[in-house]
Amino acid sequence: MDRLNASETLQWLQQEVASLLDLPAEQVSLERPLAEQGLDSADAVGLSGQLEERLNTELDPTLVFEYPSLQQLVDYLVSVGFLTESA
Amino acid sequence: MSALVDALLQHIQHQPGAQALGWWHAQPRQRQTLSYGEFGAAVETLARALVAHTSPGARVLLLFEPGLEFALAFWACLRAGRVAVPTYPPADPRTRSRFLEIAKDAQAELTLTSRAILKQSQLVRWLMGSLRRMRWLSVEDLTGYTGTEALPTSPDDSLALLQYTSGSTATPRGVMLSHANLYANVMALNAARIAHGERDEHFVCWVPLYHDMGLISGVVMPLVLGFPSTLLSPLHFLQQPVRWLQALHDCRGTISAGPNFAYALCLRRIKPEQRAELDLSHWRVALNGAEQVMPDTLRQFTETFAPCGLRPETLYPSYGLAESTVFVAGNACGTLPVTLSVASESLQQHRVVPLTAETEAAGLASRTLVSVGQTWGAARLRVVDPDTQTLCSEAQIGEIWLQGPSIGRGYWQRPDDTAQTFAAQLAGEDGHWLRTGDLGFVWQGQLFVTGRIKELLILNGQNYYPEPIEQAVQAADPDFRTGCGAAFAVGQNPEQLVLVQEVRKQSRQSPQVLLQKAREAINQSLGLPLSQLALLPAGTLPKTSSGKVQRRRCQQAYLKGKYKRWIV
Repeated sequence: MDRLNASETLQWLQQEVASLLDLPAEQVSLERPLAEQGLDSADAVGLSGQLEERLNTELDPTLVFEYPSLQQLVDYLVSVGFLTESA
Repeated sequence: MSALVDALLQHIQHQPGAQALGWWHAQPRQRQTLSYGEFGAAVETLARALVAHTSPGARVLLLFEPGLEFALAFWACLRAGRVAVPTYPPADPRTRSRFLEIAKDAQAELTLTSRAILKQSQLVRWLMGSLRRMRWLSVEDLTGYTGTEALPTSPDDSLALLQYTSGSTATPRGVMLSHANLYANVMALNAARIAHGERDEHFVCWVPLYHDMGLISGVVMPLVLGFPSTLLSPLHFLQQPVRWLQALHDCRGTISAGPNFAYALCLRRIKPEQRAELDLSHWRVALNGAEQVMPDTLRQFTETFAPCGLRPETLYPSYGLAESTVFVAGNACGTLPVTLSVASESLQQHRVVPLTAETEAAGLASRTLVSVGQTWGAARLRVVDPDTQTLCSEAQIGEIWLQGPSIGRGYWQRPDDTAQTFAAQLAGEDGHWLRTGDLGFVWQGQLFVTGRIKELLILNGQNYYPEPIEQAVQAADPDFRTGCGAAFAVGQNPEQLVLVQEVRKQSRQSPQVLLQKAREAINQSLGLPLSQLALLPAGTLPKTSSGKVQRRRCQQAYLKGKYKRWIV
């Protein structure tokens, strides 16, 4: 399967978090920790599961605690080769 | 020897080859199992090591990532006559302070953990710094223990476990549960299980083992009864809820438990193509407890998973609390859930007036409640007027009081809290009663739980539950975020209704317009005046880790003036 690219995935994550927090996507910050923006622990673990399904791979459930902002999360996924860098 | 430990030893002796515990892996889907013989040998070794390293009756903190080690450590504590203290694993930084609170309150001699956690040196150094006198040992370091210490024969009334409960505001309190309490609670659950006949079971459990529901349904009840139990990681469940049902499918699981939110999460996250591959026809008991059971969740779960072979009578609403080990009430397993629609107005007077065909046709406001069945074994339940402390009649709502062999001894080293909660007196009845703090009623032999006393609003001498007030406002305008409001009363003579409610960020309406809408909604549905409204930004209302609104914390924050800038 072709790997997804970072910017698409970042956008998709922003959309998913927006729907969990009931916000418009543009109001979800890529830089601020998700916990600060109101995402609870259970949803944070759930987000790693949604990423698993999308990337078709196995991810650590506590990923979002270790990489607390969306940008950090995506940077990590690029660094381990789960995502390609954006063109 | 306590009946609890003796039951396990009997199974170890008589069915050493049968599966005791299993661990279910999500990717790839496979299982790793431990037989009763293997489990028994490991428990024995670890118990001897505990006898060597700790004093009799010592509290031992259990700190584990999800896995079978917790189960092993728990039973080794019981076998060694030590007191198990389950604690949260430290994955989420937000729960670390809780670990410290528990460690200090329990005055533990030892933390039993895994090599992996000990290796997280930064974390452990941080924890150890605040807990200098406590020892840390890993299960892996003790598996090779060759000492020959004699193992004690703990009597039934010896302390087995401190089960810490969060409560709504206070620091955690440890409920003292004895070997006899655990055994009695398993026997009560078992009476409900076999009410329609004995059969073999396979338990499946994703609920964390530091949670009373996970502990009893995952590693105590199955092993006392001699059945297999297969566990999976709570984190793997939260990642992809379908894994719970896949584990049930793979093991042909018959009994599995979860709070209401777990069933709701399955409905939200499991896709039709995932459902198409599930066979849930073996699932006999889907215990729903530890939270208010929602009628809509029951109905939707039944409908959605019926094509997977799930039977409607599998859904098992129940009621329980840590102070009564875990389980208090449920119906005979295999009976359909029972619901009752009650006139909302009657609930305000603490009375029960079920809806009739006529009142329903007339569109009378009502609330549908799910029955949590009856008590089992020697447990006794009374519905008591919390003010006069006298018995309520059948149509009256009061506090649920309990007596029986599952009730714990009290809160660890908190005599005042213990006296208040565990030693209530009831006129004309012998002995001490446990005050649950929950309101409910018994209707035609069925228990219904309506809410928490501490969350009840008393306005103009009438009783109001917070949920209908919050829901009325949230239904009035989409800018009020659903499930993100807290209604409570403040002041005295007269008491005033306050609502703290989150607003969607993109709201274009002025606070005054929203205040008007909230006032109208509460006035129209409940005839109540709203005294004050605080409009909070999204994501700031205090909630528990499972998403329950913490109304008492909201009320305290409000009284401390923390919401001042948000008041309209």
